[in-house]
Amino acid sequence: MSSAQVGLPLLAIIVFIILTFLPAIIELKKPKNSGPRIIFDGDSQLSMPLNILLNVPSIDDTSTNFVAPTTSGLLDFLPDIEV
Amino acid sequence: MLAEILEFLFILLSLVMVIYLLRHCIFTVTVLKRSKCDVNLSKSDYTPTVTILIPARNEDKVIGRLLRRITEFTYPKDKLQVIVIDDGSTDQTERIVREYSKLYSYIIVLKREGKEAGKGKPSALNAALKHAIGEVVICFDADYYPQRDIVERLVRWFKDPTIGAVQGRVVVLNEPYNIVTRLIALERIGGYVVDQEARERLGLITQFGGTVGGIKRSLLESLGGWDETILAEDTEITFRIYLAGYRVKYDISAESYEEAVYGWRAYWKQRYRWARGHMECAFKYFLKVLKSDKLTPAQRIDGLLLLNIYFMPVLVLFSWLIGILLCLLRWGQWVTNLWLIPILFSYSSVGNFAPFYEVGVGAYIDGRSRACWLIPLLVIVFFYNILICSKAFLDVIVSKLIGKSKYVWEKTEHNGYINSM
Repeated sequence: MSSAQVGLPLLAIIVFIILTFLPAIIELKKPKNSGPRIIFDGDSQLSMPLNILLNVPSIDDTSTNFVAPTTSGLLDFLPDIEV
Repeated sequence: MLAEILEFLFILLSLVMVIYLLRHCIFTVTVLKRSKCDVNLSKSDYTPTVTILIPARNEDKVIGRLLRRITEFTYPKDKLQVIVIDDGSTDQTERIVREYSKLYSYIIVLKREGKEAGKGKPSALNAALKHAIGEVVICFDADYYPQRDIVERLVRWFKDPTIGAVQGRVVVLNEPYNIVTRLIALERIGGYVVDQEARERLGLITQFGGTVGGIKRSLLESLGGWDETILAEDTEITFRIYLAGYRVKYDISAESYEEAVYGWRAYWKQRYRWARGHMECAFKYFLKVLKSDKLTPAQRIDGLLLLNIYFMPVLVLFSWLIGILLCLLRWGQWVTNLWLIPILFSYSSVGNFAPFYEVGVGAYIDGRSRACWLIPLLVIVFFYNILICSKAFLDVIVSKLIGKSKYVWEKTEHNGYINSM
């Protein structure tokens, strides 16, 4: 086999691999993927999932008193319940 | 002689992969034919009592999020019972659940301690089943975050007496976090938008996923609850439901977020458990599915293919090894037929799980065309799964030979990342 016979397919394979993975590398470097998908929440006015999720107070697992803010946060959602 | 045997095996394995390839082609075309799904929920007068089971072991970072969401459910609360199984947690899980339990009478804590605790999800679910009073039992993992009307969406199908279970769709919540979560999100799209949906439309074996799904309690009890000896209790119960003459309905409009694992190590642990459990199910149900008079011929074929899906990566590895051996043994002949190798290699590569084009079609239907850019990276997952499934396969064979399983249930870690984003 001549060097051209070996070199050309090899070059084609390398170009194919680069072209295959290039979009993935671009997407990883500069993500424009709009994920995650927003799930349908029954009523369009209620479709809120992510913005509410993202506003949930963080729970610091090293904190010893995190249950208190969790509970008080919970009570905000319960205006009609007397505690 | 050795070369002839290897050649025969190589062709046989390639044929098996072609069968899986065709299966995924059929699934993809089926879903493409009608890509729109009806997400509107029509009013139903069928509102059975429902028990929601949530097994939780050290889930304090996520359990509050799910319980708060359940309090927002639109399903009548007087028909709802929620049992959180605190399976020997050593963190704040119990305290958080008890806070909710004080405020909402329908939320109950079931504490498991000592020897009972930590035996795994099916054991926890069985313990809770004894306390369940709902006509329908719905399961959620602690890291899930469902839509508000998910109960209505799931239970409406139980009006049909032939339906034993209903499965909803899972969407990865922490998708943007890193490359692992992004690839898992793609896998989930392939699995839930194409695989499950196509099986549902074709009347094949729709899989109950063990979470975001409901089962008739009477049926579950008559089947003896979840099998605690098998790691893939969801696949196991799926086949028992079908073999009992019922079917599993897949409702793509019943959606819930999940938190995918964050790293390759956690991915290994989770997939190893799935692969090993699935293989155990294959040994248990292969002949039963083959002989069942409750299944249609198409369901039998699909059932067998589904049962053996986790053997595929192992077969791919075998076919590669055989291919290399053949190249060495028949160098003179093979070198002139080198063009055959990429073709057979391609068959090997696509005969695994939801193939790449299936994920692409799923992402397209989901309106996530940009996500398709990452599809080539699924090859990493593909190679990784070959290692995972091969290890699981060896362990299953060893445990079958020595007659006992050494596996200790390892739960998936959730860090509630999205809470603090």
